[in-house]
This record gives sequence, structure tokens and C-alpha cells, in this order.
Amino acid sequence: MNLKPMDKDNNPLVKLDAGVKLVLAVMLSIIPFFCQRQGSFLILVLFLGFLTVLARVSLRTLRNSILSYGIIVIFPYLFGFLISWLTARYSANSLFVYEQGFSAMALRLFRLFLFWYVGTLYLYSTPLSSLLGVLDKCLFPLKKLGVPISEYLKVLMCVIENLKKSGSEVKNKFQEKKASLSGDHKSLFILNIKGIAQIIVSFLVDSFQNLDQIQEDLDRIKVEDLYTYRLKVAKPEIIAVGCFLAINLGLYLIETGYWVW
Amino acid sequence: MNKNRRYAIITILVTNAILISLLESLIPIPIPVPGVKLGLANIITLIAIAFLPLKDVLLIVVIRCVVVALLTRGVMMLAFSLSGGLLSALGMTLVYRSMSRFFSVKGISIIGAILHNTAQLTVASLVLGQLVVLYYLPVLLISAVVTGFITGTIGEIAINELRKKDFLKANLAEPAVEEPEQVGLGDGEEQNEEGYR
Repeated sequence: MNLKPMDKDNNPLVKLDAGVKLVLAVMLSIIPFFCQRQGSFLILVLFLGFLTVLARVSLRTLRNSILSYGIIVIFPYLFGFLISWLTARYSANSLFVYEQGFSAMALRLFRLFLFWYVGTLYLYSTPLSSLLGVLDKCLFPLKKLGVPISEYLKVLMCVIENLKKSGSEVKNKFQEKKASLSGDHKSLFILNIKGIAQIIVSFLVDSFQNLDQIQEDLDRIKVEDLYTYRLKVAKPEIIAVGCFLAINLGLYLIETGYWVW
Repeated sequence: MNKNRRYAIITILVTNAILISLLESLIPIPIPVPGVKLGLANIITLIAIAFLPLKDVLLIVVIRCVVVALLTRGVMMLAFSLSGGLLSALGMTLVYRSMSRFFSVKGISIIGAILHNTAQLTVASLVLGQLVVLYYLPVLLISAVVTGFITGTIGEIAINELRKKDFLKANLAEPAVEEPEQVGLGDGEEQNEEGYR
């Protein structure tokens, strides 16, 4: 997990209006599900590659995104596919025969990956304050129902601030206490469950010392101080929409067969 | 209770849940299985279930999932973690409040882990449109029993420690406001008007 502030990046994608970017990102993530031809996917991959370079996405973020997708989606699928195939082969029972072709499934997994990746790019290139501002606007139906969305987002922002403050400190404390618990690290969680519980309790007790301070902060800080969002349409937004439309036109031409690639 | 005092407690619990889950990487697991982790953040959910009303427990789970999704930049992760987190929190609360005579905190934690893994795999199956993914369920269920037992054991000790110190109850009260005397927090589970224990 990266606890560095996302607001520090300064590149064209970050400067883009968060709301306009959200609409474009949602549309871009849905487009792969309408594409059939290889050329369309090639264009999408090239476009996403260009955006990745433009956003200066770190290799670590890329690796983590691919890894989590692999662990959560691909691994269980491949495991199930293998078990299904083995069961069908050795039991000779047609009930276990896996009907869908591997290529169709690979295509679905690829589309889902593109969907996943667009989301990662959006979050990577959007400053947290702008993102919460957009969320605040997007969740207005819940506000109308009486859910205190702004208050919850304030708590969320407060959590992130607290994490920034105490993240490394807690890590160091944990390592110190872990070292004092046992010399044999491999058996740490088996032998020292009570020790870990005590560490967690001491963390909680320590952190509750800041309760009054956090409450004061929450009393003092107004939502507008933490995040604001106002739709901004300037040259970068017009260029972004233009690029998006151009990509769509290219995809349309490929899909309808007017442009063979 | 003051609204912001309640939010401050939620802030602290969510922060601790995220920090504890970060610390998980520092604890070596003898047999790593893809998609399986200890889920130490669940300890905070257990503590919240023991001391706070359901509404706050669910809020803690939602805010934790959203913050982790924002920090790890995983939009789709949010769907998986929210489904698992909310279902397990609801299930554990239900069991804790209505069947705590039959289940210890360890048992409740195991139920939570099972619900969490089942919900996540069901979402994966829906997203992929493939039931074949559910073949992975037995692996996740076995691991849920093990990880649920471990987090439940830690959670039980932590809850007892916090009760002994009367710690959360003391913090739930307003500063400089005298708190009316309350009876213990055993199986009877007494609540005040707002549902705090």
C-alpha cells in the first residue's frame, strides 16, 4: 500500500478535471466489452499505454495492479478450470465438462483487466481532494435520502491524514515489539498470539490518547477545507474529450469493417 | 453522544484496522496460499461488534474498504472487499448479538471469515460469469477456518483486555461529563440508548 500523498503529482492527467475524467474513465472501461476485433484491442492497449506514460505510473503500481488482478480473478478461475477438466477427464462424467472455450474466457479476462486497469489509472492520476469532491457530488441521491455523505467523507479524509502521520511510526513500534517477543520469527504468530493481541491492544490504547485531538479536528475542520469540486472545462479537458472521440471513431471504423487493421 | 466524538472513535478504529492489516506483511505465514491472508483487520471489526452499535460497525467496514481501495488504487477491489466485509460484519454481529451463548469470539470470527471468503468468491464468479470459479471455495473455506481461528483468538484476548481496562467504555463517554454507572459487558450485553456497550 502506498501512503504517499497522491496530490503531489504534477502532470497533464492530474490537472484534468476530476469529473470530466471520471466520465471518460467510466466510458473507456466499458468500451472493451463492445469490442470484438483484435485491432480494436490493440488500439485500446496502445491508448492505455500512452495514458500510463503520460500519468507517469510507477512500475510498483503497475505490478501491484496486475498482481492483485491475478490473485483475485485469474488464479481462482484457472484453479477451477483445472479441477473441472481433471474431474471430467477422470470421472468421465459429462456434468463436469467445462463448456466455454478457453479463447472466449481469455477474451473476457482481458476485457475485465482493461476495466480494472482504467480504474487504477483514474485513481492514480486523480488527487484525493478532487476525488472526494467528485464522490461528494456523485453520491447526492444518498444525501437526499439523509445519509451524511459529507460527514463520512470528512472521516475518511481524517483516517488518511492519521495514516500518513502514524504509518511509519507504528511499523517501527511493531517491529521493536515483535523482536522483543520472540527470537524465532517463523513461529511468531503461532507461539505468540497473546503477544500480538497485546501489541494490538497497546496500539489501540495509544491511539485513543489522540481521541480528544481528533474530535477537536473534526469539530474545527469544515468539509470545504478538505475538498471542493467545481466543474472546470478548459483547454486540457477539450483536448481529452477530443482524443477520446478520436479513439472511439477509430474503434467504430475497425468494428464496422471500414478500416481493416 | 456528540456526533464528532463518535466519528473520532470510528476514525481511530479504521486507522488501526488499516495499520494492523499493513503489519500483516511483517508476520510470516508458513504455507502461503494465493488469495489467502490472515485478515488481522477483522480483529477491529470484532472489537467494534463487541462495543459499538451495528450502524457504526458497518460504517467502519465501509470506510476501511474505501480507504484501502483509494490507497491501493483498486476500484474493482472495492467490490470484492465491500461484499466480503459487509456480509461478514453483518453475519458476525447477528451471531454475536443473538447466539453468543453458543459461539465464542473464535467461533464468530470463523463464521465471519467463511462469509467473507464466500462473498468474495461469489462476486468473482458473478464478475466472470463463471461458476467454475467456485471450485476454489473449498480451499478458501479451509483457510477461513484457520485464519478465522487465529484472528478470533487474538480478537478474544484483545476484547477481554479492553473490557478489563474498561477502556472503550471510558472513551465512549463525553470528556468532562460524568458517566452514569453501567453494569458489566458479559453475555447479557447491555446497551445504552445509542447502542453503545
